[in-house]
Amino acid sequence: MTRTGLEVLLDKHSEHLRGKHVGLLTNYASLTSAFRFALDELLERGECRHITVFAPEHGFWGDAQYMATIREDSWGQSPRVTMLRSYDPDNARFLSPDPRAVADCDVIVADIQDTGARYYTYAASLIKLMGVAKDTGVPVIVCDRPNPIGGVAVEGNINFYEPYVSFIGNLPVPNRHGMTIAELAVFANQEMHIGCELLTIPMEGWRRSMLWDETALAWIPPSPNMPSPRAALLYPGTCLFEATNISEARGTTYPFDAFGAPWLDGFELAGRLNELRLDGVLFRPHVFTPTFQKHAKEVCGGVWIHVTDPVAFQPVRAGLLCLKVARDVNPERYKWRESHYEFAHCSAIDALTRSSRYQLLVERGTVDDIREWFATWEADERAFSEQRPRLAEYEQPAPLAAVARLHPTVSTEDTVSVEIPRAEA
Amino acid sequence: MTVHPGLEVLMDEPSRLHGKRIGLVTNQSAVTSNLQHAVKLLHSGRGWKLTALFGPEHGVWGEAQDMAHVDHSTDPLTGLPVYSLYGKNESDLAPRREVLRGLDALVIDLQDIGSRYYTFIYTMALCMREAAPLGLQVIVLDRPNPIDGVHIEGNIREEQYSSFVGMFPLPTRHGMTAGELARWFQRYYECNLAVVPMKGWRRSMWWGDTDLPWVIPSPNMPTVYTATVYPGMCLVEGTNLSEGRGTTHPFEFFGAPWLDSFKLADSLNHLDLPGVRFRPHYFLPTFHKHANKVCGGVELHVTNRATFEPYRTGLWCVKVARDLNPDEFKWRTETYEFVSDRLAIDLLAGSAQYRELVERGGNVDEWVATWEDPLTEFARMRDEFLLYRD
Repeated sequence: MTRTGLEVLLDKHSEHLRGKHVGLLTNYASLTSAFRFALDELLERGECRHITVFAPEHGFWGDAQYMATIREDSWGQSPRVTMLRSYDPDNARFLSPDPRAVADCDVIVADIQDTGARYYTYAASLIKLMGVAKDTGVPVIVCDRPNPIGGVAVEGNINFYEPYVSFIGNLPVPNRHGMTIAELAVFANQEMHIGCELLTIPMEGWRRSMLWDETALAWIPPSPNMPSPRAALLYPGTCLFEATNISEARGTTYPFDAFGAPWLDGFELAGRLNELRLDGVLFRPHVFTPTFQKHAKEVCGGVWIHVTDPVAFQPVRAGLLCLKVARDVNPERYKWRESHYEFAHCSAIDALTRSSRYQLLVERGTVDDIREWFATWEADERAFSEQRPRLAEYEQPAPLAAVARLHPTVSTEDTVSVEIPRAEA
Repeated sequence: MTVHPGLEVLMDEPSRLHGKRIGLVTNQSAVTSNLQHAVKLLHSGRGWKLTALFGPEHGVWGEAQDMAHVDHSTDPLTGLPVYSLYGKNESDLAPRREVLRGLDALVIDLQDIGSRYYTFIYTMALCMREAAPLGLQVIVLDRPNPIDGVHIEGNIREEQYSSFVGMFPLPTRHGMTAGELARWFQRYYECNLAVVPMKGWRRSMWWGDTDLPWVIPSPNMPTVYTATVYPGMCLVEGTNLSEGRGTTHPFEFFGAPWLDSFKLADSLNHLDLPGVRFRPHYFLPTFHKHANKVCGGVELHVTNRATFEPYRTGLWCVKVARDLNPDEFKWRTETYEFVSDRLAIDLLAGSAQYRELVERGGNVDEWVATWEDPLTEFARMRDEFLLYRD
């Protein structure tokens, strides 16, 4: 079983915590394997003197807009905890934490679950916090957590230029970055020249090749619309529907697993998408009725995306093609999102794809044109895959039990004495 | 090894359909292991003719919410008539005989989830009941019980609490497949029944062991984790607490605007129930009970599904939540699944004993202790209907 950086910190490095005033980037999903909040464990086992909580997007309880009045100002009436608002959907000022609050801390600890997609904003919150910590001279400890969609595959373009630098992507990484939150922090500290005093606490028992289910950790939705690791694997692709008038199945129990719209015929859409013969995925016609947000209470035709081979599946390419095909079925009903999106300085689709080209290709090009555009990413994907910082702890071969399972002819007794070579750091 | 559902087994050897006019009772989850749908397969097959579709609760393609009546319609894929088996009235739950008269066989392919409340098995039963006097053949295509076929739990439903969430004297978690249940229901209805068993399924398998894609059988059953807690957490429907509908984790969350999440989690964790931990949580239902109000509550985290007792856990959850705020807590009194003369909680529990116990401040585990003999009796009774061994 994978042990998260938080547990390793508490077990082996509590000298960083004892008696300290800790600034904690966390939310309700940061739990130990015993389902205890990171916040409670740091207070009790870590013996911190005081904790100031910096919650990311959605707030500590997962929905800032509504939860702001609930326990965002206190933690069980504990005088040792200060809960700060660090995100406000209407006020960019809250994207960056208050320097005075950071300066009051002896150390910043981050324990937050990322989902492996560039658009997911928790890494952006961490990077903002690191910047303020540098300015105020406070060291930062990042407790690592798994990338739920694995640490091997990277996918997408990087194109880190204005106006595509925004809160839904403030790092030069591809859409699917294949890094853990601690690796992102190391990367940001170097590439973005933040230069804060940074200590990473790696997980134990995690390997780059692992998908979430192999970690044996419970999935706690890191935000309300990320209910399953299944959704996390699709999110680098289906998040793109947020930039359109097609529903990404928000308002159902399975956002990002499916998409559709009242005017779409799911049978035709599934047929067209299956004809593309994408690796590791099948599309099934699906009908749903969102209870809120886009097309609330309207019956939507669409498809459910069933990943049949999570290693071969390429969520970003699949998502970009899904959107194109869905638009082509009914171009006259299709619209790009025009309203304000996550503080971006360009249209939502351009901010998500970091390109103005995709929008043009959808409107005027063919599926093959989009596939040609994918080919232009390949050099960047290869280079990034090789150059990204990788924590040495995750490079080891799979643990023995997994080896025995993959190769059932090898008995565990025979392999037990074999020393596992450590990969070069 | 991939399990092959009954649908696949039938399509490999479809001769029993030859020359027949077929009706199909189904919904979106009736797929093969590579996601081919029963409607498409039976509609495009040669040598027989698919002539009518029948939709259970939520409709053929799963478009309607729970307890929302569905009208007759035309199927968008095939143009076939769709007869709703979840209409406005209780009498609409069974197929009409004049429709069945035009058929030579009625094929039923519905994904059950292993809880006595889940209505699809009763839709199947009512089809069997109506087919019997006509001599119409009923062919049930079997599918896995997603929460395994070994574990059984709960009290046996008492006769006076028969309803569409409990038409038969089953324990709450029955550990049977729809095909096995059909063989038992056959004792009541004596219809012309054929069950097409799965290939490769063993009783100890959970859904994840089958290698089959999870296709949600209803809108609030997004994952097998939902199905795991459902035998207990569905009880919350019998109260004014939210069962987490309107969130992405229905039945894994429960709560109410007046509940203190931390007190609730502490009280439940102190019980030390096997295989589960409770975490304080706040959630915002986007529709249904307490829509757009912040609810204090907990999330259930199943830590060991083999020892987890979903029904006992659900019984404790409702009791503990009620004891924390007895003035705010109420049993649901509105009509539930077409029944208005008995309380929803009694229909769900299959007995008035649970509600009475809660009201007098009794101990849930004393009631749990009384189930042992009836469950042993049930296990003995069901044995002859089982189609799979381990």
